Amino acid sequence: MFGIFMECFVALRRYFGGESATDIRAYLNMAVFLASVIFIIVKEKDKVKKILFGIMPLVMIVGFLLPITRKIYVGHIDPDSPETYYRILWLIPMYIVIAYAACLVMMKMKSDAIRRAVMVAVVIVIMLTGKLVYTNEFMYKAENIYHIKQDVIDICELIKPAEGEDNPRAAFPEELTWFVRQYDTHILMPYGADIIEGEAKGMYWDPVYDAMKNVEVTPEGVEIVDAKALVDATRNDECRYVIMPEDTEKRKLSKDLTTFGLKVVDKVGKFYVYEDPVVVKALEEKKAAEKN
Amino acid sequence: MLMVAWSVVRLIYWMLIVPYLIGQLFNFILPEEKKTVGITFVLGFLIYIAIFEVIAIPCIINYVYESFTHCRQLYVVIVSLLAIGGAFRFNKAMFTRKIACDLKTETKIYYGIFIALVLFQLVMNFAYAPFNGDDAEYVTNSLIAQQWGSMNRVDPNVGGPIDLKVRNVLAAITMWIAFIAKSSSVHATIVSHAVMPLFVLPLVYYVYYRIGKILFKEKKEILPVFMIFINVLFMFGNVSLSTPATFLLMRSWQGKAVFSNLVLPMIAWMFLLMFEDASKVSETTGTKEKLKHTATWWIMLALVNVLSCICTELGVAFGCGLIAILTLVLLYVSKRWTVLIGAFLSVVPNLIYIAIYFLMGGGA
Repeated sequence: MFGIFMECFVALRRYFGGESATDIRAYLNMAVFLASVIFIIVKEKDKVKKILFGIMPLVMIVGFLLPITRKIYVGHIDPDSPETYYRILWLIPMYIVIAYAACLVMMKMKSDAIRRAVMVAVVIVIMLTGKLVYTNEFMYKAENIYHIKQDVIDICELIKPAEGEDNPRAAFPEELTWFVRQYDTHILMPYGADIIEGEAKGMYWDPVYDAMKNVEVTPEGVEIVDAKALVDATRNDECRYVIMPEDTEKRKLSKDLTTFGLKVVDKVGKFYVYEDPVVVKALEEKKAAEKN
Repeated sequence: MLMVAWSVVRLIYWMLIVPYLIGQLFNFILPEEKKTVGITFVLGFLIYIAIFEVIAIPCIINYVYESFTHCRQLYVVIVSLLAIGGAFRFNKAMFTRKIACDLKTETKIYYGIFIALVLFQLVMNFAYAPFNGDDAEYVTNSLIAQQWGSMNRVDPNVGGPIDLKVRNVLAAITMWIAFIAKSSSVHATIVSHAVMPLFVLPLVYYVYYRIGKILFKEKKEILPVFMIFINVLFMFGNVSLSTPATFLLMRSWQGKAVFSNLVLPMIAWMFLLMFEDASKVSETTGTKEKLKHTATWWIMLALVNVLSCICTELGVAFGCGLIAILTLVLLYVSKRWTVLIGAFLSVVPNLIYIAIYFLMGGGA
């Protein structure tokens, strides 16, 4: 039971911004929230407001920490994703509680000057204990109105099928996988983002992804992608196009893909777009056979 | 350029005008003092979404091909008829209501700061492109519907046919986005990433504004300060990836973000209105008056629950949970057992959702 309680506490701490037990930000945020709750319980005269923004949030936090709540959640509400237990905390109107408590403090002040000073102080506390969303590591400057990588758009424009043409399958490097079908669903892929981080992670095996990921590392620390294995895999998956980043000092192809018969269609940014004539021919033969 | 302008006009039409007109048709259920442009729009939007859910689910289940096309055609006919009906009930007086001009200069400055903060967030949503892996599924599902006319039958990750996933069938918000995209001829990814934040953020802050209006009924001058605090809490709420603030400002087009930032505050708002009415009810006599006071908010709460169902499967349980807790408080405050009937009726959409979920083999 204590173990489950600790799991709940860690979920609470993480929600408040503490990845590790020593991260003071989480405790500061918890303190701000709890101080708001307690202030409302003590100072609010309206019974309804006292219950809604004082007692109820406190009871819900206690409920969240109870092992039985977690057991019910994991067992019956979302058994597939127990890591989403933190979402119970969404039920607590935290922003309203903090903002309301701050306003309550302001309203208790008799002098306008002190009231204004309290307002500024509250804003500063929120800014110091919080984290500006625009500084998030996953926040990037938009390259276009689609809000996806411009390289992906340029590559998709290059390989998209013409009217009446079959939809091509294209093998993209991992970093572009998320965006391709957000731009054009006519482009098929041998593996998708789900194999990288989604619900299918580890659920299926794809030879192209395997060839791209399973690299040989030299003693100098350079990752070498086996070009032969990659071309075998893309041909097996009938990928008409293969997109590969240019070689860097850290990651290289064992051989140029053109040595296996692939043709460079174009270079977009740091990505080479190859077309495989072997696959094109095989697909044409397959189509003709299907017609016959 | 002309095409872009025409698309913008259609976006405004389908995202603002049609829901508003639908609200106009049904706003007779609102008490006279609550017949404002904003509340009418919220009511219309909730009905607009509810109609979509009712049409989309059978279409998704029944049709393998062209399910989106059938859904869209039927939806356009129904919402257009309702919008025409609403146009006949158009009330110009609502737009000419006196905006409080007797505010102190200081209060006006605070309102100015609040509006500036919201505008700043809208601009930042345009200028920044947050990355979220879930988009590869959700946004692509919308785009598949737009480009192929099929709903949830194509694998968003690689392409190719797939079986229906129960949770995708019921949480159809991605299909509503596809509807907006198709109807305005704008790429679904642009609608998701660039247009939806412009729609969701102001709506979220409007709901908080209404909540603040109830909380500071006697102290109106503090309301803009409350809204400034709420804004700053959102902007600096990125303490972890799990907070509603992070969801709102980094992926407002996803069902989970709409649920945590719009649905849950809306539930709180509806209950605050009922708590407000609880005092009025005690002053009035007779069952009819009591019903008149609260029935509106229970109806709207039921519509909010439909919105929660369309957002995420988790919304069904969470919505019920929050309503159960708040109903207990309402029962304690109002001392009227009829609130239990209202609460039960308001969660009927959730119960229907659960029934369909299990009928389709969900949870197996």
